[in-house]
Amino acid sequence: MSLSIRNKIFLIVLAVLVPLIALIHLFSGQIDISFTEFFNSLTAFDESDLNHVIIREIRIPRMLTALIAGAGLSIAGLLMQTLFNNPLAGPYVLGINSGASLFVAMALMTGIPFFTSDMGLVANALIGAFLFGLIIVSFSTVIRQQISLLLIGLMLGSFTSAIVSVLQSISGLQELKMFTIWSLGSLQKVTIEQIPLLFICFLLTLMGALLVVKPLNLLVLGASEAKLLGVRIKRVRLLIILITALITGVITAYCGPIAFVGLAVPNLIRIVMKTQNHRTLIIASALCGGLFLLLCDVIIQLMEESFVLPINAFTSLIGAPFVIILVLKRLK
Amino acid sequence: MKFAGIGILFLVLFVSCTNSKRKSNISSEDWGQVDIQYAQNFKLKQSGDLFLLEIIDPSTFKVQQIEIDPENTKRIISMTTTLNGMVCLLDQRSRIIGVSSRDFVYDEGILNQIKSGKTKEYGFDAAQMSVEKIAKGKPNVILYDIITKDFPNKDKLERLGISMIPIYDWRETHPLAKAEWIKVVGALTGNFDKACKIFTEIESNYNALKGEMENTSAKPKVMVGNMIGDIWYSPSGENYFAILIKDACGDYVYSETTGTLSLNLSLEKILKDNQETEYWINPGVAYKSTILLSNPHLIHLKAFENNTYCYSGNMNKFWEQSASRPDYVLKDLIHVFHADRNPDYNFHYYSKIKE
Repeated sequence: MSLSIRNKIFLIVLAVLVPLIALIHLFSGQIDISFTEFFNSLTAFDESDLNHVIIREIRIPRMLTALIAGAGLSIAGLLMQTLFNNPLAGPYVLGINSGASLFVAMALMTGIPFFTSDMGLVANALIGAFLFGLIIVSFSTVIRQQISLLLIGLMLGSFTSAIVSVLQSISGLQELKMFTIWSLGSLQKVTIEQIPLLFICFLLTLMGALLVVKPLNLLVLGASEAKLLGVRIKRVRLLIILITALITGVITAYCGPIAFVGLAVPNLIRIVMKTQNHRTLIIASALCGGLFLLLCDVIIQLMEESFVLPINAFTSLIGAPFVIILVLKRLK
Repeated sequence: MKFAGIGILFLVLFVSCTNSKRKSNISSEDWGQVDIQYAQNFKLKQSGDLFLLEIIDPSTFKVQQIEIDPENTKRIISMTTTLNGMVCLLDQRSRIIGVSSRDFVYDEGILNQIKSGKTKEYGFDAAQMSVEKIAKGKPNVILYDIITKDFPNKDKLERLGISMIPIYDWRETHPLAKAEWIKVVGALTGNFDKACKIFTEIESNYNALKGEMENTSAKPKVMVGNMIGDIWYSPSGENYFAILIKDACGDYVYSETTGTLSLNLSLEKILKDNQETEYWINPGVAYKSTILLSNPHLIHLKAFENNTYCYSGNMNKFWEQSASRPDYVLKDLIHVFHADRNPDYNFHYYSKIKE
C-alpha cells in the first residue's frame, strides 16, 4: 500500500525534526558547550575535561534515552491499542510497570535484604517488570478473549498498587519521597555503557513489530474477522505481548514509569495520517514518540536554571489535555 | 431517684478526674519574660514553677500559647527525634511514654524502655497514629514537628486533655537557636535551671571553637547534600548548616544564596560548580557504592574519591544529638576541614564514607 503524498511529507518532516531536536537537546543545559568542544569530545575524548565528560556521560545518554524511550513506548502503545482495539490502551495496561513499581517500592520501603541489597533500583525494577511480563505471557497462553487479558492486566496493576499503598502508609517521609521521585520518571540515570542494551531492546521491539504488520492490519477489523482471514491470533498476541513486555519493562526499569507517551502519540499519528497501515503507523509512532520526549526534555533542560521538573510531570501536562480532547472527539 | 443520684455523683467524679490539672490564676503581668537569645520560633515566660510557652509558626507567624506545669507533663509522647535527645540530656527519659519508632532512637535508655513496654511506638508519621492508641497511653503532652499541615486529629486529642506542642527547632536558622530549644524541654520537665546551665555551656563551647578558627586563612571549598531522583538538595546560604560550615572555616559553595530552606539543583549545575570542591558533607549514605547506584555520574565529583564525610555511621545518634550539641558538630566539621589541627581527633558523629 503506497503512502499518500501528505503522509510521505509528514514522515519526512518527522525524520528531519528528530535529528534536529536531538542536536538542540545536546546543546541545551546549564553549561555552555561549543560545537568544537562537542566534536572534540567525540574524536579526542579527554576525561579530565569536564565539558567532555558532561557531553559523553550525561548529555548523549540523556538524549539517546529520550529518543529510545519515546520511540519504544509509542510502538508499545500502538501495539496495545491495536491488540485490544481500544485507543485508550497504553503500554502499561498489562501491568508491567506495576511489577517494576512494586519491586522498587519493596527496595525503598521494606527492610527485606533481597530488595535492599546492592542490586540497586534498576535491577529491582527489571526483575519486577519481567516477572509480571512472565505472568501476563502465561495468562495469554490460556486466555482466549482480549478483553479478559486486559482485565487481568488492569487487576494486576490494581493489586500491586494496593500493596504499594500499604507500604507507603507505613513508610517514613524520606522513603516516601524517594519512591515518589522514582515514580516521576527520569531520563538522566542511564549511563553510556547501558545505552547499547536499551538500543538492542528497542531494535528487537521495532523488528518484532514490523514482523507482525500484516496481522496488525487485519486485527483492526476485529479478532474474529482477523482469525477468519487466516491470522493466528494466539501466536500474534503472544508476540505482541512479548515485545511490549520487553520494551516497557526495560524502559520502566531504567527510567521509571513515563506517562502518556505510549498513549497519546499513537493516537495522534492515527488522527494526522488517517491510515491503518501499521508499517506506516509503527515508523511514524517511533519517530513522533522520540521527538515528543526529546522536546519535553529540551524544555525541562531550559528550565533547569530555575527549577528541576520531572519528565512525567511534563509529559502528563501535555498528554492529559490531549487525551481529554481525544475522548471528547470520540464521543462526538 | 436513687439511680439518678448515683448517676450525677458518677458524672461529677468522672469530670473531676479528667480535669485534674492545676489551673493557674496568673495574670499577664505576673509572667516574667525568659531571656531567649537565639531561637526565633518560641518565647518563654515564667511564673514560679509554671511557664507560658509561645510557639511561633515560622511560615504564618501565628502564635500558639501553651501553659506548662511540670506536674502535668509526666507522660510525653515525643514524635521528634531532636527533642528526645534534649530530654535525655536532662536525664528525663522516664517521662517519654511514646516515640515514633525505635528505628529512629539512639539512646539506650529509651530503647530499653521500648523493650520493657514502658515506651510505646506510635508510627513513623503523625498520619499513622491511632487516636485510640494515643488515648490508651494517657499522655499529657505530644511533641511533634509537622512539615506541612497541622497534626492529624489535633482537635480530638486536645479534647482528651492532651497538650499538642508543635516543635519548630528544625526551622531555626542558627545552630545555637536549635540548641536553645532545650529550654522548652527544661520547662516541660521541671528542669529549667539545669537546661539553661547546659545551654550556656554549649553556647560557650561553640563560641570558643568559633573564636579559635577566626584567624584561619585556609578555607577549603565544601559541598553538601545528594541527589534524590534528578534533583540535588543542598542547604541554602542562610540555613543553619551553612552557618556551621562557615564557623568551621569552610567555604560553602552556595553560601551566597538566600533563604533558609533547600536549594533544588540539577546534576549539570552540581558538576559545573564543584569541579574544585574538596569536601562533600552529608550525602546521607554510608557507602560510595550507594551514591553511584543512585546516580553513577557523581563519580566525576572531585570530592567523591577521598573526601566525602557523613554521619551515616550512626544516623540516629546524629539526628538525636546534633541539634542539642552544635558544639560537637562544629568540632567535627573543624577537624574534617582542617585535619592537621589534630590528626588523632575522635569524631563525635562524622566519618568518611566507605567503599
